[in-house]
Amino acid sequence: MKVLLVIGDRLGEYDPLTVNGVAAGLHFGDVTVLAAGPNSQKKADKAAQINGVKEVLLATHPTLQKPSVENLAMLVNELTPSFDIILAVTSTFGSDLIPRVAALANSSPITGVWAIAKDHTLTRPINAGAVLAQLNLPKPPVFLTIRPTAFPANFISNNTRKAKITVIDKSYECNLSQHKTYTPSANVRPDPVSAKIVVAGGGGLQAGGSFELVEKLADRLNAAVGASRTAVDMGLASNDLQIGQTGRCIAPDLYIALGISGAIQHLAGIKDARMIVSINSDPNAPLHGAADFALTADIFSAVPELLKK
Amino acid sequence: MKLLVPIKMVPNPTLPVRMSRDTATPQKPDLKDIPLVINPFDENALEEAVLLREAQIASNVTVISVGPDSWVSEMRTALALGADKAVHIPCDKQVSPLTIAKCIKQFIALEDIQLILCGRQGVDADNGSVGPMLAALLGWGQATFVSKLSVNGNLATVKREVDGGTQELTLPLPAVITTDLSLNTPRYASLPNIMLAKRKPLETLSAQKLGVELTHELEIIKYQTPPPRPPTTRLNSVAELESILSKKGFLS
Repeated sequence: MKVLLVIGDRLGEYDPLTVNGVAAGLHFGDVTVLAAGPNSQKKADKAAQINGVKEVLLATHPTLQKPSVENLAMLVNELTPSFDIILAVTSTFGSDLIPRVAALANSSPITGVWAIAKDHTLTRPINAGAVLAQLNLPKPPVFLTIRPTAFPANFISNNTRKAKITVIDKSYECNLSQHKTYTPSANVRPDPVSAKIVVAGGGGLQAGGSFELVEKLADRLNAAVGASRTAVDMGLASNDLQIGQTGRCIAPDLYIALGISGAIQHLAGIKDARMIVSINSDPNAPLHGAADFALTADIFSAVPELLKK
Repeated sequence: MKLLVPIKMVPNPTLPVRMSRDTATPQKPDLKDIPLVINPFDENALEEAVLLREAQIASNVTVISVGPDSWVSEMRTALALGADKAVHIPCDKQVSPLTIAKCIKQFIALEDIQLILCGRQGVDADNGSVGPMLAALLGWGQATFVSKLSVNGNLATVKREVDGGTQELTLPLPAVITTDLSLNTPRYASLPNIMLAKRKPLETLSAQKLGVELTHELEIIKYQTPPPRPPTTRLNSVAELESILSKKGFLS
């Protein structure tokens, strides 16, 4: 099967989750990568070094050098007949693009794919992760977004032999959405989706009036910072740090929850973490039940004590 | 300017979903005891539409649903929340996002809609597909995950929540916008508005009349419960936690 992976775009830069897209694509066969948008040359060069990438298509026309989902969808639609699987990572980029491209090809996408079996049966979580739904791979062309955390890319080393880069310089202009600016999030710590350790805070932080406690522990552990929806709603953390069904799904080696009660939607985003630790003064917090290790304690005394070690 | 808000009903997302206990195969999620509510993201979309009408930027807000008859009472709730008209396209089985997008597209051919506001995803199936698909079928521009919207004449200016930060973009109307939870805080339906909603128009339109076949090309073949996590170990002290973190190599 021939796979086209459309490289993600992180505020106009190369998306490091591209390797996870390649890892998923290799379940079906050879992976061709499409690089477009700002810095597409740089994105193409990086993607060409990933093991398993057969060819990189590089869109160079100014209409595709700017972020425009409508223009990019036109190009992908034109490439679709040459491929069996059109793939992107379940990021805000992939979730924006893939359904649009699927509709242009009169097809429904399968989003948030969590596992691909040997016989190409697909599994995706539904109902906030309470249920796993299995689907047969439809007839090509198939449009997928894959959960990056479910397809670790540890086996993909940087290839010294670069894949061939083919330039597409055709114009695609829909004159629809016009990009103005990107504003990077204030978060200076690692991205929670790719981090090995994530420390997250919830409503329990409100008593302190800030996220400082979470940040201090995160910095001690060289970890990313995450937040529950409650903490975001309280204004303690920015929206892009939200972990959960309606935020981002993570799968770190260690997840530490500080003062997070554990709504169903939050648990949906952390189910794939290897080890879950919960610190909460409420012994009945649902997150305590989901955790591997639960410590019933006041976070404002327990965390400083842990930091002293 | 007329606005359209596609809405779906989902099992109340604050209640846990379990698999059915009967031994019938194939096993399915048991949803019969979980009350239906308007999909939370769709409530944000409806709220934004009603705010635009209250600001006299929009003249009319229509909600549309493709779903079973059991959804009709919640469509009345949408009217109580401020929609002017509801359109129900009856559909008794699960259908694909493509089918839903086609139904809505055909409805738009009958009405002069300038802006479609959708929730970014249904919290039951988590597809997140209908909004961008609808934009593609109509040849309109799209902005997904929108957390701020202003409409000025024929131009929408939006802020999108994207990985790593936010993006600002402009969209010529007509266009499709999908909403993030941070866009607004949906209101509650007041008693007078619930009474008023009973007299608002709720029309039924058949998919057949719209020329759309109700199909599902993505049939689910099997439902499973995720593998259980190991039981919780309750710790008694920070020292115990510290020793575990050290032993696993997280704390050096």
